[in-house]
Amino acid sequence: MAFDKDLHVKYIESLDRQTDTFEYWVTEHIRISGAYWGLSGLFLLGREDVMDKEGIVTHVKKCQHESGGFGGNVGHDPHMLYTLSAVQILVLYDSMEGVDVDGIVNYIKGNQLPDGSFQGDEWGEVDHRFTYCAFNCLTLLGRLSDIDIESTVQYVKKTLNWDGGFGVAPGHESHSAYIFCCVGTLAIAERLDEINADKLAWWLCERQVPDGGLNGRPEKKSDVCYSWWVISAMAMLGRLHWIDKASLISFILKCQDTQGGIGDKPGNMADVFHTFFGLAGLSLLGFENDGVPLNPIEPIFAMPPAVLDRIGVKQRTAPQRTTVPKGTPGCL
Amino acid sequence: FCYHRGGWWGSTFHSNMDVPLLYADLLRSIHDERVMEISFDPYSGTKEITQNETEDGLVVGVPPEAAKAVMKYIWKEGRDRDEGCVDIMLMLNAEHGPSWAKRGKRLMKEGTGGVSKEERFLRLVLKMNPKSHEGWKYKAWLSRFNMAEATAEHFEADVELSLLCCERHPRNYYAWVHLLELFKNSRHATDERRLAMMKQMRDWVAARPSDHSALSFNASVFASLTCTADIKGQCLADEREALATLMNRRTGHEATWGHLRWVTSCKWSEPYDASPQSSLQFGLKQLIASVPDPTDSVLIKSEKTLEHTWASRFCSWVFRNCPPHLLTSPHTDPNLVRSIESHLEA
Repeated sequence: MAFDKDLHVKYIESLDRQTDTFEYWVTEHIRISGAYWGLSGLFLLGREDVMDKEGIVTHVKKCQHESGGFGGNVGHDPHMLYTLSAVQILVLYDSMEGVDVDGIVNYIKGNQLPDGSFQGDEWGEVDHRFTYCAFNCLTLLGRLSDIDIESTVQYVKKTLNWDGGFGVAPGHESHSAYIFCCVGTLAIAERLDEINADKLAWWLCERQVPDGGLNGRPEKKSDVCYSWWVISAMAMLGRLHWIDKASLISFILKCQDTQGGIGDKPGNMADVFHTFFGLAGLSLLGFENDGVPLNPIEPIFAMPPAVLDRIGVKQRTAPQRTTVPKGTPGCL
Repeated sequence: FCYHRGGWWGSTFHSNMDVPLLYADLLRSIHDERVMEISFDPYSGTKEITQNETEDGLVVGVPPEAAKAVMKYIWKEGRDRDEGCVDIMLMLNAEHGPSWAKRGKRLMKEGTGGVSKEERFLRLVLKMNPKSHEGWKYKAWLSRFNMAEATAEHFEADVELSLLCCERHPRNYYAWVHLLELFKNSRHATDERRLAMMKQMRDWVAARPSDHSALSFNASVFASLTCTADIKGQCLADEREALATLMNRRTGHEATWGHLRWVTSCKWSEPYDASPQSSLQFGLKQLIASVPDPTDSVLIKSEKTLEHTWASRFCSWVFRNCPPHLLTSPHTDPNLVRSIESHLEA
């Protein structure tokens, strides 16, 4: 299926109008993340103008809790995931005024545990997604130095597995999404030298399966969202060229829904999560639609580079390697 | 829809779906101590909730259409109406985080006295939704909340539930995470119990050779052993022998080749410090065996292609990651290395 930009724009825009559907209701508690995925997708397509900026900004600001963190929707409990999504939306829209930034910082600091890990909220789940949320969010706010960076780096190192990858916590099975979180955290902290980039990139490029798509771990089926988790991690490691780009682009395009948006697998219905990560993957792979590339996305922060420049976020450099090692799977 | 009630449900046959009644009966089954399991039942051939008596207790089947009708009923009628809404919401949609938070807050008010009822509810939810991340997250919180009271029976019940969920949904990440946390952190996870579990997993994988999560579990449990080097060495040898038997019988599995990388790399570190000779010999044997023959059927050719892919990647991986002194030691035959390299070049 050829890439149909207008259809995808129409799909994302329509999501906000379907307020009386069952699906809208059961995802109420994660609305703010849905808004981030949708808005970021539109930024990649150059059509962020179709959304009601004022309405979104007002709604997001109402989600800030007295603890400083943000809930997934108005009246919902705060959580690290939604705090990051909220800050990302407000930064995308350059609308941080009136937000209690100190409150956000204190909320994030309060979730850092003595071993350097982060919990998601008061219920105590520890997971590298929250580590990444903390580092990303505080960097966007210019307040990374407010937390104990070194203890987190040491905690991430403890999670390193024998295969070069990272799991949800120390000792657990390596998983592409957690690899993205750990590599992203180390990249933000400018500590990518702590890992064996070749070994990890080897594991990552083995995620490419015969249909051209990427899976999250061995023996799993391909899924469009790993088009982001895996290749952004490889981009951070400076080894994106180890992936067969043409096959992956072809796979993502096959996952487009004929009614707009992108699903997780060919033939499946679209959802906003896979739409964003599919578009982000296409952008990072340099896909061009009729000779026009999608807008760029920065792999560490999953934000447009121009937005990061605007707020003064320093560019991080990937460890360089120019040749592809002999026997590397997946490469052309 | 039709909804037929019988047995302890009570009354009548309805020609249209009586959703409030369905809601009430589903809630009753959740709280009925005789019910051991509630599951989605798309194959019952009816649109009714079914009830079967087994030797373990009552098993309740919910057709997906009935489940959707009840969920929409909760949506339209107001999900905050009563605690029952939370119970049913989680049974049918275990990913609803705010509902778990409500239950947690309720339990914290009740204290640890309410834990066994909560554990029963969680068992029902996880059996119905074995890969629910929010469900496993709540399980972990409940374990922490009740840590002081957790007995050996609790431990074994948790292991059994985790394995059931791992079986229902292969490579079930969060179920394996929970199982590993039990074996890493519980005071009931002695070395003896860990070694027994590793043996159980070898048998598990013999029937499920693509279960990479189970093999990864064994690698992590091995790392948590505190016994002597001799016992660990014997455990590793047992792991290697079971893996070799399996790989000779079932070819072309990424999971088993991945685990062979782990076994091989374990022996590179103290106190084993062993050459990769035997692993490379196996790799070469499989490279040769997986060269297709013109008379092979399509299926055999496909299996051989997979086996060749994993065997060649395994050998490449060993060459890149093995400590150089082991690769060039007198215990590693240079002719073997050259043979493999020429196969890889070809």
